[in-house]
Amino acid sequence: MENLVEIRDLTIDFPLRAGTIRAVNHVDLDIPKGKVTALVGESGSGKSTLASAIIGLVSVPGKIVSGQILYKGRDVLKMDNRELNKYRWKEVSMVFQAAQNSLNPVMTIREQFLETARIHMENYDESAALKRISELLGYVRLEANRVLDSYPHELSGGMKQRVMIAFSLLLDPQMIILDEPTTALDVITQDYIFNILKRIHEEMGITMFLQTHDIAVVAKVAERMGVMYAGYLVEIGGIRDMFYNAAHPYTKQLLQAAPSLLDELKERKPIMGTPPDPYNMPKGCPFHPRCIHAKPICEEQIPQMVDVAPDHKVMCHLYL
Amino acid sequence: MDKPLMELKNVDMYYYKKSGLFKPKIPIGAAVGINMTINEGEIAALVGESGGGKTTIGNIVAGLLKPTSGEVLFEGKNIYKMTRAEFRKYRHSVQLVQQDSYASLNPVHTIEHSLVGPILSRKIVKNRKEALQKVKEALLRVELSPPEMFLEKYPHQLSGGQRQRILMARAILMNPKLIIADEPVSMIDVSLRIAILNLMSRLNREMNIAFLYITHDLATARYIAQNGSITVLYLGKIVETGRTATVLERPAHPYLQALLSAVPVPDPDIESRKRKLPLKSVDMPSVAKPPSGCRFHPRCPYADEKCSIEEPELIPFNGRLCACHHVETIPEWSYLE
Ligand SMILES: Nc1ncnc2c1ncn2[C@@H]1O[C@H](COP(=O)(O)OP(=O)(O)OP(=O)(O)O)[C@@H](O)[C@H]1O
Ligand SMILES: Nc1ncnc2c1ncn2[C@@H]1O[C@H](COP(=O)(O)OP(=O)(O)OP(=O)(O)O)[C@@H](O)[C@H]1O
Ligand SMILES: [Mg+2]
Ligand SMILES: [Mg+2]
Repeated sequence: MENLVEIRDLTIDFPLRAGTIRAVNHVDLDIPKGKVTALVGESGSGKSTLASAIIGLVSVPGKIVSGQILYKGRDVLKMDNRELNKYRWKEVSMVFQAAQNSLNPVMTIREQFLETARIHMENYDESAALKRISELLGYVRLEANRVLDSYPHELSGGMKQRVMIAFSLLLDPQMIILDEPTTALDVITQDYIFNILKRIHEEMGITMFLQTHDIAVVAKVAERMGVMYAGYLVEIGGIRDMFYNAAHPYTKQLLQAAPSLLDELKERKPIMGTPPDPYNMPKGCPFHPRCIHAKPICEEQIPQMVDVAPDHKVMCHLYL
Repeated sequence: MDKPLMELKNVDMYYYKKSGLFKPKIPIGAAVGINMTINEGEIAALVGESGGGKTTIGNIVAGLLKPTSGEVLFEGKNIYKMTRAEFRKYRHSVQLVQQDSYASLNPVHTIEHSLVGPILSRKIVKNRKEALQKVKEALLRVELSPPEMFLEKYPHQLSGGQRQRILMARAILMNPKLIIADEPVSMIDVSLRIAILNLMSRLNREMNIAFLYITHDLATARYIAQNGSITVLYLGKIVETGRTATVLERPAHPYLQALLSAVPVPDPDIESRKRKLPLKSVDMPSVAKPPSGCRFHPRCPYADEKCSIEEPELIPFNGRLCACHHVETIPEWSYLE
């Protein structure tokens, strides 16, 4: 299995007045080429911070404290602006968590598309670009004509999200990062978009890296799943291993908390305890205060990542 | 007894979209012929496809958008015929938690500023000290703890879920009778999602706040509105409405049946075996040129000629209202084959 992206020992801090938040903590992660890898975890666990770093973005006042992000062997963190400009959109594109944030409120969708196309497309040709854009908008079930002439405020939340998905495909990237791409979408549109993305993924061998808290979406589209907790990657493996042989106590609880129409939401158990205070991370394993299996060593030492099966790793003292 | 808090009567909302410099404007019927009642202390869910008109209706109920025609009543009074004082009271009583948490918090203000400001200026509290106290309580209520840690932050320094909870706290601070929550939990992860839904139920029980819960997620709609009502929209029109338990137990409209079938299950093996959606076409028709007759007919597996000509009305069926010509003969729905 060839990796398109290899993240090594990545640590990202946010120094704030009240203390420093370590949003990503010594993470090693491989994103295999041509596969759909999903990253799940509760709010604030660091999914978006990690994902944005892959396209060389860290929001202010974030600092990369350690590590490398290798894309086809090249360290993204060492690229200069010119290299980054070539790499973003064309090699790796990203659909951000809040689409509205990336759309300019005073420009129509057409103007925004064309601007990006002009900057990034080789041999830019307006009519060809428009044709491509209309086709992509059709993929995401939007009426190209009306949407192109609209300003962002004239579109619904889900429509803006779909515009961003279409946008991300504009330059035929090798990989797309989708950060909560369907949170604003109903299930029929979701189903449709994931089928399209799957088809694009299969036909063009595009690599997908998806961040979501919706476990059901992961079950539907992903081939590999990683779980983040408090900035750590605590478990990663193939989708069936993760769902049917989850190793980490947190992963097990996360799966049990997933709502399903097949049973009563009432019976779903929210994960015990409260998320960790980012300013005061517990010593030892970050999950130990909420873990029913915690042993004395868990309070002392951060566990190493170990293999529990081929291509299935976990960071937990139970397996050491 | 059910006492109506908000009512929409024959409400239409048309947006007019310019199609070119000299071309006529195209009307977009984002909400058409809407009749809806939210009772005091009730939880009402509004569900439907992206672009179906949910946010539009939410904004009309909140008084932020004046409908093209029809009446909007608060405690029996038309809000557009109110005195200024009455209107002000209505606007305090009905709070909107918006879908887009980035846009609804001012990026250059701290959370403290965004929360303390409104309750001071609207004289809900006497002074700054009291305001700060109330804000801290509200933050604890939405489980942002310790509150001090969030007060100094700017919106971009919070995760999506944290921002959504800030908005819920801001709404509670106004002592509302109704909170319109537009996709309040879609950005939040599962365990917090249940926590927020439980929080909404608690506010509903303890403070008798009614909720209009706008969502595309049927599982959470069923959960939160289990004792309330549900209204299903399709292309700006209501296709089915009634008590949540009745409607979701035996969904009658083919669109609602398809919507339920599309809900993914957190199980990869079931997902890979699942049948295709019971839809003839997945393409969503244009709201600017809605299909003739029943708006759903081009996608409906049961549609016949009548459906393409005659528009169905909402009629009583099995304890709810449903707008479908063939509701009597459509097979009962089940999740798995
Ligand atoms: N620009 C920033 N300034 C300060 N803190 C930040 C910033 N961006 C993120 N953080 C903090 O870093 C942590 C991780 O945030 P991140 O947005 O990566 O989480 P997430 O897993 O994507 O959460 P969600 O599911 O809610 O989107 C959080 O504690 C968050 O408050
Ligand atoms: N200001 C506006 N001008 C023109 N058209 C608009 C405007 N606001 C909304 N629309 C259109 O009205 C329709 C309904 O939009 P609305 O935001 O109510 O949908 P929604 O059901 O909330 O969708 P979502 O689930 O994606 O948030 C859409 O076709 C949208 O493009
Ligand atoms: Mg995120
Ligand atoms: Mg909306």
